[in-house]
Amino acid sequence: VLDPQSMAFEIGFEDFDLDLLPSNARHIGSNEFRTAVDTYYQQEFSELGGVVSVDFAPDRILVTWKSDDAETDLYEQAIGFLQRGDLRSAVPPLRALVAVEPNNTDAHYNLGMAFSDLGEFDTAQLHLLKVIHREPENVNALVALGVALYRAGNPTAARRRLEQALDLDSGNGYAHRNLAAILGNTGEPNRAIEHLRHAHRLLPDDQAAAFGLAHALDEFGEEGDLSEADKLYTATIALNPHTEIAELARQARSRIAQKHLHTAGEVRLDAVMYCLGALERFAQLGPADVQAIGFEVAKLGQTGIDVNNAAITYTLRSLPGEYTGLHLMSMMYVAFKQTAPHVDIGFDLAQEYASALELYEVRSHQS
Amino acid sequence: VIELRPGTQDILQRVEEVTGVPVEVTADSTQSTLARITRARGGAHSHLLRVNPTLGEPDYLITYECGFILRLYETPSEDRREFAGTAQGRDEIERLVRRSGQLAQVSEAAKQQLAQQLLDGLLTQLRSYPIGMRIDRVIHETSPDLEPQQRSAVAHQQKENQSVLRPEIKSFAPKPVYDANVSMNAAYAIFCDRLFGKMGYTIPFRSAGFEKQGRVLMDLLQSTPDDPAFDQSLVDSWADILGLAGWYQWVPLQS
Repeated sequence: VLDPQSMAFEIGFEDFDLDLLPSNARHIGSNEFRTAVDTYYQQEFSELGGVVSVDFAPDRILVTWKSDDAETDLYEQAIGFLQRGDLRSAVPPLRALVAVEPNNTDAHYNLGMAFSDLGEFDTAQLHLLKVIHREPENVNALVALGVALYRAGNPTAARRRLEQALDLDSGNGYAHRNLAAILGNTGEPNRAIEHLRHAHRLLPDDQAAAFGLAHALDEFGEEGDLSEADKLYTATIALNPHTEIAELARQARSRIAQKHLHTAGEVRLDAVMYCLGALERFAQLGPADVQAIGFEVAKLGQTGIDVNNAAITYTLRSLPGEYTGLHLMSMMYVAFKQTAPHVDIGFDLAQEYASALELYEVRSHQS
Repeated sequence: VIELRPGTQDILQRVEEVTGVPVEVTADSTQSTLARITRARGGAHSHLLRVNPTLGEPDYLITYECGFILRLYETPSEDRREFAGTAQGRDEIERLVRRSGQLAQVSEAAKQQLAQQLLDGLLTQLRSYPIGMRIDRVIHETSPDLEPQQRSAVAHQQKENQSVLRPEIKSFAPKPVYDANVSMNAAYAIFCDRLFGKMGYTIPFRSAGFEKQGRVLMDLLQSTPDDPAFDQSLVDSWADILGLAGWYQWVPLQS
């Protein structure tokens, strides 16, 4: 049941009635404007008692009011917003809460996390420091502070906080993961890989940890590490195929596959023949059918196609038969060259395609 | 099985007595509104009242929805009319949606769908808000046991209405439609603040500059006699102020 004794709403800067503000505070978005808007709402709700919180996002005002005897718990309300990923809406109830409970470390912690994700790093640090001052051994707050500091461009302080967190709890996967990110970017790749291995072991379902380790091995590892990196990229995609990280993992797998494919720097004859076969087959089809084949392979590729293992075969709805990964990629390459040549499919078979075209023209003349 | 208070069962009984058809109450958590009553037509054996169980006990919502049918049947039979949209309203809203710069990139099919949604929402609001305020006042005065449910339903509705102030919602609604919608929201907020004592519901709409328009609508409510025979004229007067005259018509009641 909804509690009538609390309220939260948002209103665009442009939509606030400027006639309600003093004439010197009508420049939208200015400090005077913000102060006057805050004062306005404080006065409006003063008759009702309770706590009012007025916050400002880049384009809007966020107002939360809670009566003294409201049943709705502000903290639960904020957690609800956070769980739905609505960070901006979580801020006003948390701000209202810390206004009446300045020592509520859970509220400060969540405010710090929210502000950090919203890019307001200074405010984030203030709230997280309040937690750490009251609870110096709060590992999660130390990790969050480390992340906020790093995002704010202060890797040295960030590293110190994350190492502090690991001194208190060496089994904190997030501390390992975030420390690794700093080490990887400050010239200590081997130590980064070491921490990422810990993170991946401690957080096997964490996509960022799996991707981070894969990326570090791919980037800084030795030749033999590439196969492990590829497996980890596959695992990254499997954890959630629909995220931005999964997309990066797919691109990385494609790069690795090409690296393997062209290791010797030679043209792959099998790919030439696959391209030639596709050119011949597509000559019998209309552009829509060719496009459909290209799209179907591209879609299949989102979950990963292994181009270096001929033992694995795939099927298509749009074309009967079984195909190896390289065969599919060759067909897709030709399909896109014919229907959308400006699109970069992220897999380079230019040499093979050029050779196939020459052969195709020779065959065409012969017949 | 939905358990109802004796007072609610009496209301349902009264609807059956005056219309000759019973009310079938069902719980439907999929519908977007808290409750909706569909009057029996074309030989249907019952009026259908769907209640969203989100708010828990449904007695207030049932009483409120039945109030529309009871008020309709309290008017002389020759004056009973139903509210129906017109082609003019549809053309007008489609024209507004097409002209909207914000929607320039949207497909024609999506524009038509949006126009229909906006029209349905606006006309439902126009038909239900002024008459609903009459019903709400009666419930508040005569059924104090329903007040907690009434307050909760009002809080729910106010939350929905306040969300319309979000810039992203404002951006896609054509201005005349948005202004009409928020003006009615403002009127409803003023009404609820008066009904329950100050609840602060008017504050968001005042700060968005809609209080004045809300008060104009409330003045019309107060200057129109309470008798259900004036319900059509009340809706018409709101429509005139909101620029919605001609978007709907009153058609003879079909049994």
